[in-house]
Amino acid sequence: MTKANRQTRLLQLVLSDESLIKKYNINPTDYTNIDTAMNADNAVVECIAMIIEGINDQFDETDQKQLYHRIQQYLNNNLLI
Amino acid sequence: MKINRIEIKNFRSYFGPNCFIINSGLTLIIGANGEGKTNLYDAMEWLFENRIGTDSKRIVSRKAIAVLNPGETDEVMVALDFEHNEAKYRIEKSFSFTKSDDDSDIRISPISFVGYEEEDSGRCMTDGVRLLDRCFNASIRHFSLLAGEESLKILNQTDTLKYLVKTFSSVRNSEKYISFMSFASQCAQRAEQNAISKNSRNKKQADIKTREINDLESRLRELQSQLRNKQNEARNYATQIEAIVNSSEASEEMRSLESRLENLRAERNRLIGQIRENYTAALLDDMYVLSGIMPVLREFSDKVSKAERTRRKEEREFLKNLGERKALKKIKLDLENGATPLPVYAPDEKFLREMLHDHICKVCGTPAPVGSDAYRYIEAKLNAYLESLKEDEKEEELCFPYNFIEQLSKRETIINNERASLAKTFQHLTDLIEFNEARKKQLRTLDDNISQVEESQRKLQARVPGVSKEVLLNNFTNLTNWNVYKSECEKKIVEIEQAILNVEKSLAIKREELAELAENTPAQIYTKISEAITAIKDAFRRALKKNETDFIMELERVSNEYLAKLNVDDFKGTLRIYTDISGAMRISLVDIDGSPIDPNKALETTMYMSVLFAVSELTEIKKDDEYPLFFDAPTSSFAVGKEKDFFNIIDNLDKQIIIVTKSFLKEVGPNEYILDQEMLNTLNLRGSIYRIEKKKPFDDKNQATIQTLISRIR
Repeated sequence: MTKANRQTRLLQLVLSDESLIKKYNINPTDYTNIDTAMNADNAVVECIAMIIEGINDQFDETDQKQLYHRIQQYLNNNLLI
Repeated sequence: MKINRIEIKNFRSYFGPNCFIINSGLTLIIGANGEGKTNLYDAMEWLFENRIGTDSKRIVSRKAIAVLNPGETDEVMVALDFEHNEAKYRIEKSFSFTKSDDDSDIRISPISFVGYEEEDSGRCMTDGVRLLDRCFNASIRHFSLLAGEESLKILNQTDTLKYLVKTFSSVRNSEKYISFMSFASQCAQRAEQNAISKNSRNKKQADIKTREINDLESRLRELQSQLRNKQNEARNYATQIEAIVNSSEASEEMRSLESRLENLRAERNRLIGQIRENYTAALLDDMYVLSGIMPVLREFSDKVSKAERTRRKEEREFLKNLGERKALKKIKLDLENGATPLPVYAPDEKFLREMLHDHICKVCGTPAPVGSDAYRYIEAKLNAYLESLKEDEKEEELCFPYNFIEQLSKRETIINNERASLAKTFQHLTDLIEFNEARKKQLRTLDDNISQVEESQRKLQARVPGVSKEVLLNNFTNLTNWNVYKSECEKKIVEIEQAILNVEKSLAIKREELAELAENTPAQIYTKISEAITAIKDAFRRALKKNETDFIMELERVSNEYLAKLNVDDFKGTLRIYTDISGAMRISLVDIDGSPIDPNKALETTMYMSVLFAVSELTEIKKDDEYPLFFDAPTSSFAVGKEKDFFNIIDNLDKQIIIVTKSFLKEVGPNEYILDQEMLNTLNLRGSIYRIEKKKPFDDKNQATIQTLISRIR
């Protein structure tokens, strides 16, 4: 399984979470891969895609702060509802 | 990874260069015991094992050493040509050895492990370890090389399946996601609390809520830590129980041996207690010192008895002779007409001598000149008288005039009484010595038996490495204890999980209350961000859990497909893979009603193999990665028919599998085997079949004469 396939699989697993769908009005079928999720209008979906893209084999605890600031900043700017 | 070729040079019995060409499907390598099966397996393990600490000298072919002249050099080499992701590679592990000048030893060089990649420009050399790890990851190799049926049980060890899920399921780095989301969620909540506290209108209330939230979070962390500890504890207990159950047969045998050993030792002590060897004190106390006189006394008694018998015999002879003489004399004295003769002394000696002197018989008056009849008559009469005098003297003589023999007899009688008493004492001594010797003989037998039992115990322990004799002996006691501990632990886990749920509920309420304080304030955005990140965190947690569950279900489904294929027309039950309360994953077989099945060895083997094949298949699907499986004697417990079906099925699995086995051989003499062609013809393999056997002749006491020969049959 390629990296892209693994990312898509995880994306679909997370986006199919009932609680998340309900709270943030997500339609998982709109997002077939990580790229479509990265360009989503839904801030939570894009944030999830950023997390999946950001965590790789080399990711360790020292990278956590940087990724948190990225998603926090993104949500701050885009989480309007 | 697909193996194309295995090369072995001077590795144990594989003297000189040797090669196996490996195709897709099943490759069978057939050889009897001692013909090189395990050496081949060990060669593969040596190649795949990256540890350098192996004693290299021990793997050098003795024959290769023997044929070298002092100072000459040769090499040990195991190499693999393989394909991976449509590229061709070779890994080669080797070292050289040089025979010492005095012919007594070899010197070896450091191990070299190189890899080769075939590129358009040609062959490029690279680091062998890295190439191997890249194409055949160590975590996969762990499930690729398996020796014997027992080794398959690694699949049911506490952490193995968990490890498999983490390694082979669709999602990688799941711990990293969990860890990051926890971090992000905590940061967002802290930011939210800070923002709310900065708002002076709600500051006091916000501080109270924040403290309450902090307390609850602290409690939650404490409970989560307790839960992890308890889950670890439960896993440890499960591991212990598993080890005990796995060794229950050995445990039973060990207890039986120990019981026998105790009885033997008790009997030994009893015998030792019975032996009384205080001979020295008894020498004088019990007159044992005189034991040597008994033969002398017996000889004395015999001699006296003999003398006594001789005396009586002679005396009887004497009396008999005496009686005869007296009777004769009486007869002689009788006259012809029966008249009573005169006594022998009438006339007496004086008158007879006078008549002879005077030459006349003074009884009848007949002249008796010298030489006349009358003279001779008187002379005979005188002689008869004188003779009678002598006989009387004789008659008074005793045969044994001195009673020495009687005295000896009396003394002998006295001594004999003493001797009987001494004999009793000495008999006691003889009996004691005999008794002691008999006990000592029994002791020697017992000691032999004890040694045998102790040896059996040592062998038994070798069968269950890592489990001490004490653990084996106390198996059932421990099992009861571990079950109680595990059960208590599981109860505690349920309690902690409930407590965590309660704390999480309270936390959610408190956070909502805190969020309400942020409404219509600048802090509201922080609340929204915190809520979103927490929601994402929970979604990730559930997604990863689902991924794990899906993988297990998929593994279970595929495993059951393999189980069905490997057990056509046989009872097999259903394979279940589940997570127990401690978080450990388990494999078992259940009946149609869900009750657990205790499988026989062959079914158990196919159960584990099914999971192994399923893991391999899922690896291929999930990781775009295939790898070969190498089994050493995996079908020892299979019946002949099942084994044939098993190999045919495996050949059709579209997996590269190499099996070394002693099947398909028939014994034609002591340690003499030939291929069972009839049985072999029932196999319908796509892959290759090799026969390995020792080159003949060889000396079974000289390793330098041993060489494995390889011949391709199909």
